[in-house]
Amino acid sequence: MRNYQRKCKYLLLPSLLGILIFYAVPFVRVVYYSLIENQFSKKWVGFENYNTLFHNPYFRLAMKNSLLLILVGVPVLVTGAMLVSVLFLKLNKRLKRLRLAFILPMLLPTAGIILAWRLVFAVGESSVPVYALFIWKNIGIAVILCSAAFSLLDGELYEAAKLDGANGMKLHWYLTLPLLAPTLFFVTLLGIVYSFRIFRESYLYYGSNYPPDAGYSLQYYMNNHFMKLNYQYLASGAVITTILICVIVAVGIRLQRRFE
Amino acid sequence: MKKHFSLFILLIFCMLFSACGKEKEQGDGGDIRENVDGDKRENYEDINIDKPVSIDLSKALLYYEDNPASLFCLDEDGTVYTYDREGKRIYEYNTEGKCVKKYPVEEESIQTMCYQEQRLYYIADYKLYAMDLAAGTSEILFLFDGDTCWFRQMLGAGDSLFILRKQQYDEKLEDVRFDEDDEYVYEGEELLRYSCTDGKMEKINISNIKQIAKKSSKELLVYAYDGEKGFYFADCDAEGKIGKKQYTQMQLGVVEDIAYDSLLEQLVCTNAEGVFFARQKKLSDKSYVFTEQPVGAATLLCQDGFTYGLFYLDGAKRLIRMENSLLTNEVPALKAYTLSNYYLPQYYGYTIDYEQVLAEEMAMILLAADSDYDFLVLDSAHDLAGNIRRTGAYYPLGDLAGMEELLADCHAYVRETATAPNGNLWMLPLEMECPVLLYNEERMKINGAEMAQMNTYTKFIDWVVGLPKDDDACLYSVPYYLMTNDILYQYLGNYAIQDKKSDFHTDVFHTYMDIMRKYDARVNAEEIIFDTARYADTTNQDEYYSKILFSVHRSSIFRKEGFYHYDEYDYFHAAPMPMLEEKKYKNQAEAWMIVVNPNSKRLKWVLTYLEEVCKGIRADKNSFMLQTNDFGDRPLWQEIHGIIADAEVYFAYPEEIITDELYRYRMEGQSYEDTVNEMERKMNMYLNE
Repeated sequence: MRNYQRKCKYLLLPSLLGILIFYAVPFVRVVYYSLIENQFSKKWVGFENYNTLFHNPYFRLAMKNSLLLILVGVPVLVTGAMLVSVLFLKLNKRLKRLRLAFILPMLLPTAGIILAWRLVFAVGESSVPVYALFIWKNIGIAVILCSAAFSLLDGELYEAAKLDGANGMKLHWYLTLPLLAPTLFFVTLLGIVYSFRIFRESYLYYGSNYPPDAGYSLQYYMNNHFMKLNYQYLASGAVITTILICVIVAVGIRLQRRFE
Repeated sequence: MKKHFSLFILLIFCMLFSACGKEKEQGDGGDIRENVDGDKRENYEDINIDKPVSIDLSKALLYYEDNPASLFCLDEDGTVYTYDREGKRIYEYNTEGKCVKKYPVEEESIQTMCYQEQRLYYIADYKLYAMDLAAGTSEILFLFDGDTCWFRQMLGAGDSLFILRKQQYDEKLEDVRFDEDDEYVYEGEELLRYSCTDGKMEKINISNIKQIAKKSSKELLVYAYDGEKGFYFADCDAEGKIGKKQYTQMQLGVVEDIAYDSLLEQLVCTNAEGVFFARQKKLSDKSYVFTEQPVGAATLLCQDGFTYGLFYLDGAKRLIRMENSLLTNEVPALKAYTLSNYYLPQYYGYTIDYEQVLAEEMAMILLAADSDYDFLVLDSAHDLAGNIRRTGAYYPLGDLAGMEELLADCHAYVRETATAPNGNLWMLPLEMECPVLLYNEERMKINGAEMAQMNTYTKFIDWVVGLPKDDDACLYSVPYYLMTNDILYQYLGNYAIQDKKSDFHTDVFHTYMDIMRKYDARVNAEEIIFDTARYADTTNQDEYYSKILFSVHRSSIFRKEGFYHYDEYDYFHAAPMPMLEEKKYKNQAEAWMIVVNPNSKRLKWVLTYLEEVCKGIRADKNSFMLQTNDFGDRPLWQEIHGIIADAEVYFAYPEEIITDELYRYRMEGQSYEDTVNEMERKMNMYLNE
């Protein structure tokens, strides 16, 4: 067994090296850049950049919009995926193949989708079209995962629970949710990741580096600072975003364990 | 085991981190970037380097007397003969560039000529003539078949004349192709040889020939193309025998003309960027020595270490002789990025590889601290220039030899522009330019107007719109995009931004947006409102210019293109563009500049190059940004100089902030209130995010 474990560790090394080289080391450099005046003078300023960021109304706006998408868009995405999965449970076998059609939005070219989206939703100050796009694009993979999780639920457990007197909401609260918790957690995590990737669609939809206030997210903030050569603010924003995601993931893990 | 594994991972992590965190490799002279306080910097002069020999253009170039010239040729001792097509005469120049004789010629439109064996040969009206200069008589030696061809060039070797004729198309040769992208164009060329001894003309057996150059008194160099390996060189003796092919492997790129310096054993070529030297053994290393445009084809000749060429200079055709040995310089090739190839500095013998990139790419290059490039050529119309100045993404040039002298010679605002907020000299200015209004004072009076009265755009536009559209009466030209851009830049530079807040809710802005909207549809429908000159029904230059009432241009066109001839006519004057209101502020200038990469691997060579640029600009005396100049016989240029002297540089904002909303207002019917609100919102976001 020990030998086996040692072999596993060695086999993990290439991946680990890759993560170190392409993720961990660059991230440490980003942290360094967030603590200096700028890329060119390299003068140490400590947390001054973070202070500037937190006092900047546009950074706060960007943070708010990004968080809003996570707090509103992701739960809607997950809930929608669950409901669609439940619907598919009730359909007959032939119609279940329709699940694959939900994957299509992920496969279609983004520019083409945006062209159609702009015809359906006139570009204005609202961010609802971007939310709708986010949900429409990503619900497919969530449905696939939730459907897979639903199909793995053991019917005997439900029968046993019913025999014990559980019914309706109690069944779902004490049985379905805990059993689905790992999948839901994973789908939520995926949704959070995708919420940061929606920048491409948002940028094409609004067609500008300065979208309406409701659409101005952290990626815009960082992208604009890139063009202004303010790498220190971009780096600080990236670090804060990372911390934010870590906090959300940590909270999610705790909740998942609670359900387990 | 777990502990050892973790330690192993940590060790790798530390090694990688220390390797990646290592500062840029030190150059030969150490890190000579200035720190923020600017008090620990090593002086450039302290670094022990071997400077290349300075190139002094004033010594290397001889400008011939300014007489009309369409073609020229040389005799063996360096006497130059030029042909004036309109005057139908030949000028003879001595080796000091002075005209010593003139010879009238009867034939119309000589296409090419050469001097060989004491006689001047030329081709006109499809006949080959030989002229006895002393007697002033010509005789016909040969009559060419057909009447649809063009004689590109004629060179003598031994007792033969080699003639490059075009437009003799052969179907078999049209399809010859080595690489679709090599830009080879078949123009029906063929090489003929005329024997002066027996008077026979024969066609040389070489297909897809492009150009010929004289290699020696008895030999030519031919430049041709084939389908096997593309472009190649080959020797051709006086009998017309072609030697072995030496393929260029496409390293030479597109060339318009070639000559060969047999003393230095190098090619002298011209392309769209100017004149360059290259060795046949290393064609990719092009050393540009002159960035002016040659006049026509086959206007480059080499002899005894000199290159002779006809160029467009300051709007006129000038014959120039370059001393090749004074123009070459053994330095590594430099690499530069630019956002636009519109204005590039002189090469001063350095090999510079320019690459045009997008703004995003340039931002990436700057942030990545790329050491493979040496400098940037920018202009203030791109917001990147302002960002570089603000963030310190440059090598400070305070200690560059010649920099202080150059700035002292420039208008005061040039130094201000070149000085960053922290006091460093962040760029080397190349030129300042403004849009200018050129007007015909006499015609203005006839039309009942004085330029001094047109001091605001509202007055100017109202007046222009009311002018007759009949081109027999007068012509005028205000490119609509130039005018609307100027209005916008004036507003952005003088009204829009105060204390990091934008304001577009002004009567001034409203007035001009309404004006633009009013004329947009009409201009887009190609209604003639602002530009009658485009529709002028005359090709006679004098007639055309005599009818022009006024015309708006960027000041740089006088230095660059040679297509405009306003300065040849005394009745043209220059005025600054109108203002937005009856209040005086400075004219808006656009600055072209060089910004040095602080991480450049070839920093010392860049700095020596910039020294030459400083010297060159000061010696040139033809730059509008200098306080004094050599425009003596060009009063129009002096007036333009006066406009640029009373200017300030405006560092632009990203266009999309303004133009997207403006477009919606002007073309898509968006309301004015929504437009200005959105523009203010975006601009405030840009200024304060």
